[in-house]
Amino acid sequence: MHLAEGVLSLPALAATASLAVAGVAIGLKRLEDSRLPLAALLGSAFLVAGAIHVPLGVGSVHLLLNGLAGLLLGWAAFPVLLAALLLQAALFGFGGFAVLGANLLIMAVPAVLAHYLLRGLASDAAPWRLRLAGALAGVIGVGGAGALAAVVLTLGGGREFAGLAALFGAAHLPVLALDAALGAVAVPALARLVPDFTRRGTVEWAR
Amino acid sequence: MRFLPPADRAGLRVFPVWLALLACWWSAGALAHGLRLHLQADASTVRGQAFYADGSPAGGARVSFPGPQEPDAVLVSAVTDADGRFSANVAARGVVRVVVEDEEGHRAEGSVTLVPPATSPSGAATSPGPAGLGTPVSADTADALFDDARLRAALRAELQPLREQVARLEHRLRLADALAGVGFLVGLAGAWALFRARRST
Repeated sequence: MHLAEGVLSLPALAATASLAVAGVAIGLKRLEDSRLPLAALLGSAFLVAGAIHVPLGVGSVHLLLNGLAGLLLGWAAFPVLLAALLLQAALFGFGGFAVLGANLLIMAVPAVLAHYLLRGLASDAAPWRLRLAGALAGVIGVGGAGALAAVVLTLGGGREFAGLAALFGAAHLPVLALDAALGAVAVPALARLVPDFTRRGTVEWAR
Repeated sequence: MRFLPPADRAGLRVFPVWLALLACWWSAGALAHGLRLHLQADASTVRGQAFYADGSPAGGARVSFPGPQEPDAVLVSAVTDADGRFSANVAARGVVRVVVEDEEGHRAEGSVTLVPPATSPSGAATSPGPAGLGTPVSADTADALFDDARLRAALRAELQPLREQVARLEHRLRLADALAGVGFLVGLAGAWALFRARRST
C-alpha cells in the first residue's frame, strides 16, 4: 500500500503533500493532551503492524491498523500516522520521503473517515457495538486505503483505475479481514483498559 | 505543572495491548515466509532441504514425489526432519518432481534430474539436447554432472550455516528497527507532552 518513489508526477506529489500538511495541522490542533499515550500506542501499533507481512493473496501486503487509529484518534490520526510513516520509510524502507504526503493521505483519510462514520456506533458501552465498530474500522481503513491508492495512482501516476482497484482489492482482502478481526478485539479491550472510554465515548476523545 | 493528567495513567495501562501486538509480530515470523526448496540427486536418491525464506528449516513437512504421468499417483513420500532435510529412493528415471507442503499450507515445488551413475551403459548416446533430461547421456557428461552435483551439494552444505546466520542477523536487525521506531514514537509523545505542559504553566 505504500507508494514507492518515482511513481507519481511532480504536480501530484505537490498536491498530496499540501493536503497532507493541512491534515497534520488540523490533527495537531485537535490532539488532546490526555490522549497522547494512546496516540503513541496507536502510532507504534501502526508501525509494528507494517512489519507483519500477510503471506496470503497476491503480492506482498502487511497489516495496516490505520482504521483503528482513526476511530480512536479522529483527525489526530494525521500527525500520528505521519510520524509512523516517517519511521517506516527511514527504518524499513517502505515508501519514501518524497511520497510521504501521498502515503499519509492514503492512510489517514480513511482513518478520519472511519472516525466520523463509526463514532456514533462506538459511543455506546455495549461490547458488541464496540466490537462491530472496531471491525468496521478495519474494513474502512484497509478498503479506503486501497481505493485511495488506486485513485492517487490513476490521477498522479497515469495508471488505469479499474485494473489497479481490482489488484489492490484482491491483494488486500486477507489484510482487510485481519485488520477487522484485530479491531474487533482491540476496541473492546481498550474500552476495558481505559476507564474513561465508555463514560466519555470516542466522540469526546477526538472531536 | 503536570506531566500526565490522571487519565493518562489509565492510558498507559493499554501497554499490554501493544506488547501483545509485538508478540504477534514476533510469532508472525512463521507466518510471513514462503517455503523454499533445495534439491540434489544422484542415480536413485533425491536429497533436499526445505526451509522458510528466513532460512529457518521447515521440519515435519510432507514431501511427495508425484509420478510423471498421473500427478495424483505418488511414487514415494517422506517427511522432513528437524533440519528440514529429507532423502528418498525414487524408482524413476530422468526428471523427478518434488512437492513439499507444511502444516500451515505453505507449498514448494521443484524438480531434479536423476543423474545416471558414470558406469551406466549409456555411452553410445549422442543426444545434443540438454544433458540428463531423461534422455540417455554420455558417460563423460554424466561424470561431469555427477561432479557438478557433488560440488554443488558440498558448497550448499558449507554455505548453509552461513546463510542461516545471515538470515538470523537480518531478522534481528528488523526487530531492532521496529523497537527503535516504537521508542522514537514514545519519546515523541513524551516531548510533545513536555511542550504542552510547559505551555500550560
